[in-house]
Amino acid sequence: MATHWQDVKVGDPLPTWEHESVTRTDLVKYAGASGDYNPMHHDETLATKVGLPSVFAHGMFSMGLLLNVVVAWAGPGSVKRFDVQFRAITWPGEKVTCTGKVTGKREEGGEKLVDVELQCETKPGTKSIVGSATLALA
Amino acid sequence: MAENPNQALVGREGPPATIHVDRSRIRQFARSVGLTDPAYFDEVEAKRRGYPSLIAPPTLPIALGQDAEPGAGSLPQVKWDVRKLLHEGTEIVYDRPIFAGDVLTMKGQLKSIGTREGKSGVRTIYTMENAFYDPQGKRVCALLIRTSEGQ
Repeated sequence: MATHWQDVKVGDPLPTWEHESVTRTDLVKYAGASGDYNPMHHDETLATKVGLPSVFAHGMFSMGLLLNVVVAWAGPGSVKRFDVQFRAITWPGEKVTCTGKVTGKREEGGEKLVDVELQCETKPGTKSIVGSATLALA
Repeated sequence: MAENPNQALVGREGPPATIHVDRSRIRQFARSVGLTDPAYFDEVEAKRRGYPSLIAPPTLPIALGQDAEPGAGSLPQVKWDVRKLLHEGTEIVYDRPIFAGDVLTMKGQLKSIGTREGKSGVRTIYTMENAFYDPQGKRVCALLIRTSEGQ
């Protein structure tokens, strides 16, 4: 069940969501779904030729994983605004831990809104994404 | 600093594209980022929740350009050095959610050019916008992609 606005407090954590290990299959699936065929995300031969250790994940793949935190907590139709900055590359084999926290709560234009901060961590201390979102709750 | 030659492109809208948002794309995209909520997959459940059809995952707009008719919906050709580019970030703003069955008009533009201090000098930040409108011309959402170019 989605969270009710009246129950939310600033500082509340959102439920953590983990992607156990990024696979090359994940990246091929995301390339097909998104239409992003930059070869650095699926062509290992090309990626190593330009000096990279391997292919790496689309930033937008990680932004998509972060949605799991939002949707589990606020429901699929809640997003009013979602903004992220990409900070570090995500490599195959890495675990992606997605977390969030409530930073604000307000009513605006008849809507009950909550502001949250969100992040993905690929190893302790390495944030691949930091971002924020405004969510409308019931 | 010399004026950026791409400045003349700012604010110029490209040719609009028509996007038919379909259930297959929504399901495929939702699956690719690990979403499991039935509202992305099961039309009966989506309608039970009061949606007209399947709801789109919030980052779906990044994928919708590929569903434009041939030749439409292209973003302006910014002159930059592809070897020096970084995807800085993305922002999505919603006026209402997107649903399967929506027919949206997508208009792209180079929204702004800015700078930020990087580890090895100033980086130029290009913000590209794809905005999506309903048949009445009301905006549904806007996708902003920030790309930076190093020196």
